[in-house]
Amino acid sequence: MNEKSDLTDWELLRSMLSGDEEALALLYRRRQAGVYRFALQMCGSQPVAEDVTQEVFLFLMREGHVFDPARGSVSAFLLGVARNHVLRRLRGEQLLTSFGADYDDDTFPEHSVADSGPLEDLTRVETIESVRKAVLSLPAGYREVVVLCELQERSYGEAAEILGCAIGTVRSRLHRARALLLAKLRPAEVDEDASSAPAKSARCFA
Amino acid sequence: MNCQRFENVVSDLARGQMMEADVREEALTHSDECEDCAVRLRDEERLTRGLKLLAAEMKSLAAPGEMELGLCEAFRRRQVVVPVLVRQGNSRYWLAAVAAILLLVISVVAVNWRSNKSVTPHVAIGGPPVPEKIEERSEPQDKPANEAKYVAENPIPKRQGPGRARPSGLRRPNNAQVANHVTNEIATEFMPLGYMNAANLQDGGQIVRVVLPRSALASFGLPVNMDRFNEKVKADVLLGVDGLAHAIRFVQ
Repeated sequence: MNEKSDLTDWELLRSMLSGDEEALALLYRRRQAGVYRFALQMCGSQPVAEDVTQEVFLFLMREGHVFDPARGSVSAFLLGVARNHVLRRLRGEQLLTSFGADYDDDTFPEHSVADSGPLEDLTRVETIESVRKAVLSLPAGYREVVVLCELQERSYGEAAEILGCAIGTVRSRLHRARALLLAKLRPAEVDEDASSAPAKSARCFA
Repeated sequence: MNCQRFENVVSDLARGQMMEADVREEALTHSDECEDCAVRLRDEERLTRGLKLLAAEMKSLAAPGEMELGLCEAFRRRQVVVPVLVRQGNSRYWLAAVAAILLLVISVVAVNWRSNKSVTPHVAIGGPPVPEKIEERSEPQDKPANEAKYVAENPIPKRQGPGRARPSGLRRPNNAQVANHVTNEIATEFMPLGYMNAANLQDGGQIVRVVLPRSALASFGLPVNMDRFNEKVKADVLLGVDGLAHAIRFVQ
């Protein structure tokens, strides 16, 4: 048991595919929390997150042989599978906002200079709840980069590997996602003012 | 650094991401000089703190404990369905491999069959003699080759020696004209010696008259008169351009 706990994810996976139940248990215990949290942060539903986690590991038991260690880590592989399952569930339940549909470049919220900033004068609990709701309200494409890079604390490279896109794409999406979050988290009175009048800025672009 | 450039780096700056030292320095200096950018940076930092609080709050969350038991049970029962698509893919490869092998085998058999059909002379024992024009440098002419026969003698032109001019195009021994040197001479058809490749004979060859012990007839399945066992028998050996003997016929 102690010896197996020192094995890498890839070694545990190979052992599991050879029929080693203990390897499956070890790999599950090591990686299930990350998968579950990712699913929960993406969909906001505990039952869905549990279903997704189970499906991910069942998939691993069935199709684990398709994993290629040269292409990335087992952890990234599991999150990639989880992402696919989450998106499928959300699409099926029509909980998914289309990616970028409401946020093209022309209408992307500009940063407005206001007297009170986002999350100001909020308690810790209120802050957490506000941020959680704001993240869940993001379109899927922006939501997943925020979940991976901010909540899961993955690097740009790891996120790019999971999402199957370029690092620059991850950075760009994250930048826009954060701008969206700021707009959502800004106090309501400031948002109303912003919607009624164009934001004025004295920032220089020289 | 201007505000537009600052906008490009403010997220990484607020998140504490790795960046070039001079870029960081310029950005911080600009935020000190530009009030709007300073507010921008402050908002980004607040957002980062909020996200970190959320991440920390959720760090302890995990799937229910009974899920592990269910997965292990499923693993034990091995009642995991293998996707049909994978099986179809595997069977497709196998079918393609089998088809390729069959095609190869059929091609080889067909080539061998054609080669054997074209180069195999037929042993002629008995049967009606067929008069043939006898030529050293023979242009092969088609003739039925499935009957045992002795070829009737015919006057022939001057004949070869081993050093004579190379005859042209002896293509197929079974189609080769029988070369008789003298009148009243009969001969079997050419019989292959070892592996005879018709391609080797396409460039020509020559027929050499030799004398062999009669016991050599037995080697080719021909009847031997035991009363004359110790006598000699004439034979024509068909030499290819490679100098090797490819066929032989016995002459009486």
